[in-house]
Amino acid sequence: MNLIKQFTNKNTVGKFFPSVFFVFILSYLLFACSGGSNSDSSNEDFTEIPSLLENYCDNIIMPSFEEFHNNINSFETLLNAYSNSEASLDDCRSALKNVRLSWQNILPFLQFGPALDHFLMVNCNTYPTDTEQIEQDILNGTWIDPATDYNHFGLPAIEYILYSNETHSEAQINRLIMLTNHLVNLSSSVYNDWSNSYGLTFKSNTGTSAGSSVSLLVHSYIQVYETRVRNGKLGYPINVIGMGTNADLYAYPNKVEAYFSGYSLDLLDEAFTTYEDLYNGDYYVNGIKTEGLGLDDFVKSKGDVPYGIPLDNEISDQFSVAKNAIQILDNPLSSFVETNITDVFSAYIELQALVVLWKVDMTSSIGMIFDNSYDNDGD
Amino acid sequence: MVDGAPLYTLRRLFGALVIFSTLRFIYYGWIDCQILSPIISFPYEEFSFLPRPNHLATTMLFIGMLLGGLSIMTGKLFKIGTTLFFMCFTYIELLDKTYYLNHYYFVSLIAFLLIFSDAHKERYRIPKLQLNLFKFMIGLVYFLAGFAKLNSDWMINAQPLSLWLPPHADMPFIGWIFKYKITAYVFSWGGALFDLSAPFFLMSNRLRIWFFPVVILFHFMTWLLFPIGIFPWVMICCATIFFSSEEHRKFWSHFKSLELPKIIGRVNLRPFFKVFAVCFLIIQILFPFRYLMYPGNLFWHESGYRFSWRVMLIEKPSFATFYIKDEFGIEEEVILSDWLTKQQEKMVSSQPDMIVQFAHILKEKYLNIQRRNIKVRAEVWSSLNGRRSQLLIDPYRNLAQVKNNWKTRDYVIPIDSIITPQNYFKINSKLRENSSW
Repeated sequence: MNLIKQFTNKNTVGKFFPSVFFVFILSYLLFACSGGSNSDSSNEDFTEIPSLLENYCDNIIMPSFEEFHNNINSFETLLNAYSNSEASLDDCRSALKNVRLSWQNILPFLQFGPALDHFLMVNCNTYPTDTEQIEQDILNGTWIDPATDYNHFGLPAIEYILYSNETHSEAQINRLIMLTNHLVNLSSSVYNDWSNSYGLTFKSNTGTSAGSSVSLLVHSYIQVYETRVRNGKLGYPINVIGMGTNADLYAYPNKVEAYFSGYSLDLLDEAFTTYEDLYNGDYYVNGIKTEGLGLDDFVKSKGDVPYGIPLDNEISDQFSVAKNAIQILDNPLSSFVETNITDVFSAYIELQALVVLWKVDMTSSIGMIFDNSYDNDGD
Repeated sequence: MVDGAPLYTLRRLFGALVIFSTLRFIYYGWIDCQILSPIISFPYEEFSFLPRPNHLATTMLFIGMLLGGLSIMTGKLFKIGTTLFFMCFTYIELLDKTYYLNHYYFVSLIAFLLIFSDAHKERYRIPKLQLNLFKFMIGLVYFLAGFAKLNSDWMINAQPLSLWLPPHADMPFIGWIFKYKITAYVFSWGGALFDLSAPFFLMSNRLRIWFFPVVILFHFMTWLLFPIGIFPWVMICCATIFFSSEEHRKFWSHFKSLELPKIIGRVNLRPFFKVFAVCFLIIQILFPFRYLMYPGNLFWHESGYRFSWRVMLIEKPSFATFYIKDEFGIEEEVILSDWLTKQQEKMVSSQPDMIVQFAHILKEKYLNIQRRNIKVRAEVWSSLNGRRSQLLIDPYRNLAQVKNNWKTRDYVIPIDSIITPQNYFKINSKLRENSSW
């Protein structure tokens, strides 16, 4: 009881606290509210999200979609020429490789915006491909758009037909052209959406909250990396997903990307370079690498971290470690996984470390707010 | 005996706010996505006997809350109504740890205290102890919330505000200040000072009138910056209890129909209430300090974190992967979205007791549905208040065997044993060999 009485005793404690703090808080709030017009003043922090988005959109995303679209178009042209015996099979195969390499450059942008709207990812690159069904399709000779059965469509199906024989029947070539044409239509829709309207939407949607362009891009970047790069290119062929456990390694050679053509690692290298360049904001002008504003600058702008190594150094270091681990692997991956499965697993683990750094450290460092609409008072 | 006008105000405003809060909850569709549709829930272990309500029962609970709120606001059928509200509200609150909020706990406590008060007898003088009990409780919340901020993350590193404020840089008028690191420091120190000193300023008859605008500004800012729901409004309303009864009477006299009636009698202090008040206060003072029983970093292991007025202290983005293994040695990854809502996934990934609870639920489900007896482990990466990510719990511990109780959480890796993602794989196989996994 005394406790309560003491507590409610009037004016014994009030005097004790100098009103300095009170004045301090009030004057600060006044100061805070009076400077609204100064929003362009120089600063210590990253306010270049609009420039970041511009660099990404104009120098990286749009050119990548454009190149993919051009490559798939030239591939279609070559196929038509091939059907009239005006082009060689080797020309077609190398054109397909170009398409597949430029496909790697658009990976990070597949899970948001137009590419997601048009289901570009599953339409273009679902594997392992169902060869029996493809043979059936060739016999049927008619076209039905894929609904959920993407595993006999897209680039892997084209690859299968192109590599199954050294000469092709009319039915096979017809099927090749139909499969390719489907991708041409999709990629032109995606590219047109980006250049007609979505590019502007993307650049104007600043900030880092849920639904902002930065947030959409980073989520797509990480998600595609996990499912299509780490799992798709290395994990599935050695029976590992997620964080990985080395207990149940098992080789599934037919689950590698580009199984029939055997250049799986060229695609992995290209994808990994795409991911590194995108993080750094780097792009290519006539084949020359040019530095641009990237997530690395955003992360760096967060300055020195009170604990340990600055995040950007950790991420850059991990990029090189992972790159070295990939260099050890050899084409064709389908036979390599049977003989050197632990090397593949090591590379997988190094790729995985990047996921943690991005997903946990980077997103919180750049202030991407967790996508929720619930009340939350801090935990 | 005192004029209970401040308590009557509190009762009226509190009643109005809980009605508003309940309607808001319904309006946002949270009944469905927080209570009905989740596949599993994470009840507090001590209350896991409470059954999950079905659609009808949930509707009844919310009707109970609304009627109870109405009764609190008007003072009609007060004891029954307040009890009804308290039971319904607390029942919902206890269903899932995922949605733990300090302000839900606060609402429960205030409703609980109201049950035993005479806040509805507007024509009577009430025992001073009743009024003081509320004042003490409200003051205690401020003070302990401030006390909890006195840690190095908050004071020395200005975390987590350094992470939370910059994303608001595009806010109109004041957004630009959030670009600066110094702002996070000013807000951190200002917030701690505010919370610690609020009870004393509010008690001072001379300074209260000057301090109250600061209370409003402070809570308004938190409402603007953080998704903390109705908490700011609850605290502003509750802080009015420190004003004198004359001021309260004057306030209500501006509204003709709401004017407080003339006093015609008094209610005596029951001896029971004295005992109740003392017990309540002792528990309230001691309970938040139970964390002292546990070694290590409180924000990391989170033993004794909840129900202690720790508000906005942690930013702990985490990333958890759960693995199960059956008797035949087949190991597989658990797809979290098969079981958890997004919000549950976020909470399960970062809170050690929920990680264990999820492991128990998985074990039970696999046994019931697939007749497989499984072990569960989890690799959890957490970054606490801007630190680099590191392993949160022992990645090869069979969590299905770990008990969730009040003992020290030995499955949590101490925060100073830093296992980063980069060096994890170097020790991974050794960890696996040394474990019983």
